[in-house]
Amino acid sequence: MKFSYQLLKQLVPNLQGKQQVRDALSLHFFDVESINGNIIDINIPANRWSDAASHWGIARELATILNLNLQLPQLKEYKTRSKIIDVKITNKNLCPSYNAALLNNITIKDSPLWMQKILIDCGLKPINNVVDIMNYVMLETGQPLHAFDADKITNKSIVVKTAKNQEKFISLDNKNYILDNTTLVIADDKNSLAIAGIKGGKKAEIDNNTKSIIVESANFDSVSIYKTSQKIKLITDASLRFAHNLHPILADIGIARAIQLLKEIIGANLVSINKNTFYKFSKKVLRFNQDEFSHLIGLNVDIKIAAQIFQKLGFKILSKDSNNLILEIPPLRTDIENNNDLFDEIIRVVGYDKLPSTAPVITLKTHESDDLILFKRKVRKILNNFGLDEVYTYSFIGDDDVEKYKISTPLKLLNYISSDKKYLRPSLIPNLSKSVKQNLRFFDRVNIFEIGNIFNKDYTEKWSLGIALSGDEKSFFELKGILEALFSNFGLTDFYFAEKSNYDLLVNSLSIIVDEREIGYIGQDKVYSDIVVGELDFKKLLDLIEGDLEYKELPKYPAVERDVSIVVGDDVKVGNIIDAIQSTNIKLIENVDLIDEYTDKNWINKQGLTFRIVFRSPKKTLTALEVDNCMNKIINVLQKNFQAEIR
Amino acid sequence: MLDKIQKIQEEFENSINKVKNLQELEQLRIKFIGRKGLINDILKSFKNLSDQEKRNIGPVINKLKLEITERIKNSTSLFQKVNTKNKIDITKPALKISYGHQHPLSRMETEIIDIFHSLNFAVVDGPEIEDEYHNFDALNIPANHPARDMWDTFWIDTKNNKSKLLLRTHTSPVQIRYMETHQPPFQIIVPGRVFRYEATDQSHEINFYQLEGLMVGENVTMANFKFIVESFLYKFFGKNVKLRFRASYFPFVEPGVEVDIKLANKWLEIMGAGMVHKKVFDNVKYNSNKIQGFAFGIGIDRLALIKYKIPDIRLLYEGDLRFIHQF
Repeated sequence: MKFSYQLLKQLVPNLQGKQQVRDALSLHFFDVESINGNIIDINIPANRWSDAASHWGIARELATILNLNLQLPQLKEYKTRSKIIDVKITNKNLCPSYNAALLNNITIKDSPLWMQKILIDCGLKPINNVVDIMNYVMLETGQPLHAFDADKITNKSIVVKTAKNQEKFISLDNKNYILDNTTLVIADDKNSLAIAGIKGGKKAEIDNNTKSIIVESANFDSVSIYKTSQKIKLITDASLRFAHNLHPILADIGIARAIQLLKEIIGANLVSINKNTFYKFSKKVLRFNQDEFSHLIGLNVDIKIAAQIFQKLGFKILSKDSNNLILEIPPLRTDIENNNDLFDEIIRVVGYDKLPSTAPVITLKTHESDDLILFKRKVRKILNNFGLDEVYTYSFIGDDDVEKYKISTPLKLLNYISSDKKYLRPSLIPNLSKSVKQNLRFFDRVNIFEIGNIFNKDYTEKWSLGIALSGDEKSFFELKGILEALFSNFGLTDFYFAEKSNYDLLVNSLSIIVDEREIGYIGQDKVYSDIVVGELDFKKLLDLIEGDLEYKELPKYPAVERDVSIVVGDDVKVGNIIDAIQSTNIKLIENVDLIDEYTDKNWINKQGLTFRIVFRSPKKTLTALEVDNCMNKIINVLQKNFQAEIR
Repeated sequence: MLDKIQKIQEEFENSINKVKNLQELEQLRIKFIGRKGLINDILKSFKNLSDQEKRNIGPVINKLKLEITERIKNSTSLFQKVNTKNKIDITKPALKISYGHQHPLSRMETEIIDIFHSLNFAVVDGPEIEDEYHNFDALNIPANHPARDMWDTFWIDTKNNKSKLLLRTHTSPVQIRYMETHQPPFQIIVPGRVFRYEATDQSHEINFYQLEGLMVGENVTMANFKFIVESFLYKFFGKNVKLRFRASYFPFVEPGVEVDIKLANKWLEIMGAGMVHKKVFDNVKYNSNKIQGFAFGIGIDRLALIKYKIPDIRLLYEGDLRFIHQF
């Protein structure tokens, strides 16, 4: 919000320059965003618009923080008199206060140059003396005002009510709006004259011939103004202020100041004033206690200093003792609701540089920290050691991805920022594959992983580990190897890959089974077939890793290795052969490995495979005969089940 | 005697050509002209010769000895030259050992978590999809109030089935969830991904990382907060970093502050914080008259941009390995 340094200096005459203003405000609650010549742009926090979205409010803050004199104009208090204007308010909840003043002896011309300059500095356009005074009083006091041409108002009767559904309204900017029955309007017997608290209409607009005016200084329900403003997509200085919950008493201040300036500057004559207030005004009294302050903030403050600060801020000290101050809160300070809120006033004015740094005294506890977060670290390290780079990708996928991968009903955003970031990712794979593709422009091999959150259709989410490798056939087995090494690293021994083909995003896929539980899958990316991907449920993996690694007895007896070379149909899966071999003698077969593959150009639909079988007994050294017997069993099975030809 | 000498010469001719290396050459030298070698053997029986024979044979023996010595010397230097050729050139460049790189945000997370672990803070996690209550209402940020405009929100299409769901705009909701299920005193940090509906540029992204901190007890003061934050920042940026607090407003704290650090003569805003608002404690059913505490939020991406001098936040999510390999 733009402020005029000139006007501030009038109110706090001993100000020493804009830098001083910036330093004072920025450290003590009001961030100064920029200084441009005489214009100071100040950020008004959302809870201080009632008292400080105004030059008078900021001036008071400066006077307090810098301990300088504050010179505010003295205002007269007006009560309803000579009720010429009739005011009816149909919904008192939406309009807690409405003041209307009728003034005549008006001649429309330019406002004085000094006022125009201040308006321009604050980002407002000078129009004519009446409108300018309305805006100027808003800048001074924070109260939005509006002036109507009194002669254009039918029967000098004003009604505050809700509009008709689909009612058309033309603003004084000549823009068209469609209102509904939740929109509050200011109307006369015939037409709507203004969208209450937001924008005036053409009907009772001030023009060069206006001779008498009705000044409106009112208060409207903040939620109603906020909602209407969003609905009709119109934000104005007035609507912004009302949406921030102004105290109704500000309306009294506004009308008093407006009348004062209209008399002084234009020579207007106050004919009548109609004040309507429906809120219950009650004094807010709170207690500032020195010990409570010290208990929360951790700083001791002298009660006399606290009293000084409160006084400068406009609080009335009703009574005090060595420890306490009983304070009457200025009505405009709607942000102060309980005793605790008083502490901020003291510490922010005193300054945080005075706050000591004190080590907390705590009871030590071993943290029941989130295991998942610490597990992430371990997995990262292991995968880095295997040569995989870690990436972070966006939590979103787009129409493109959904179409290419044929993803069914992913979670969608209502207000997505672009069509390529429209859905919540149900898997890490699409973004990882894309990343591999893009990195292949600069690298020959790309091996990456990500640990991130993915989203399920029922709006739940889970941690996922995704891996993507570029490359050739070998990459598939590399991925298998990486996963096996990962599992082994955590002491898992019971894991294998099983054929399974109904994974959305893959072709040629296997499921990952650990401790008989399916925890993920690997395969070729459906869209980029030269990229091998895998994904597993991170939490499921963590759950399967119990406690610590255990020692296994070192083998006592030597192993015997035997190789067998076979020729089988090329549709026979190596995995099945290995399974079959292993099941011939689970106790004695320690390992089965594929050690060679070959084809002969004379073969059609055949493949040659060599397997190495390692036999070992935990109880004794196996004899050649025993091993021969095992091998015979194996050869039988291979011939029977796979029609294998033994070479 | 002369034919003995002749035989030695022949033997030497045979042997010298078969020598393969310095070791064998040395053995040859010892065999022929060593202390107990063949030549000295002959010289031993030299004294038994007549003067006439001595005068005839002497020069022959000497000549042979010289020749053998010379030949061995030549072979030695030949072998040494070859050896120099086979010595390894250790100035050649190293073999590349490849290793995978950690993402800079992971480094940040680890570093930050470690510092807080040393201050006895536990690490807590929470969901990225949140409901309106936990993300806003419980934190004293009511609907239809401009205060909520401080956070631009992504709303999720729930097909009118459930209560309004959104992507969390800060990690603060996890504080609420934690307080709903735990009793004070405690101190926790919550790292996590958050989301903002805003245009992306060098310093703004639609998803990024925040770290929330919360310390609650009967005697936790703002001065304690100053201590914790100083401890963290000194550890993270070094003891020379200057910091300052500025009074500020957030709906869920009272008083509220923003923390700036001074680096390279510029003040940078890095953290929002304050004493947890009474209303927030009421919402989680703590006795707000006895319990007090502080909360803070810091942008991890922002810290990474500052510490590693990364110019654009978008680099963190583009997955470009040329960037990742720098860490």
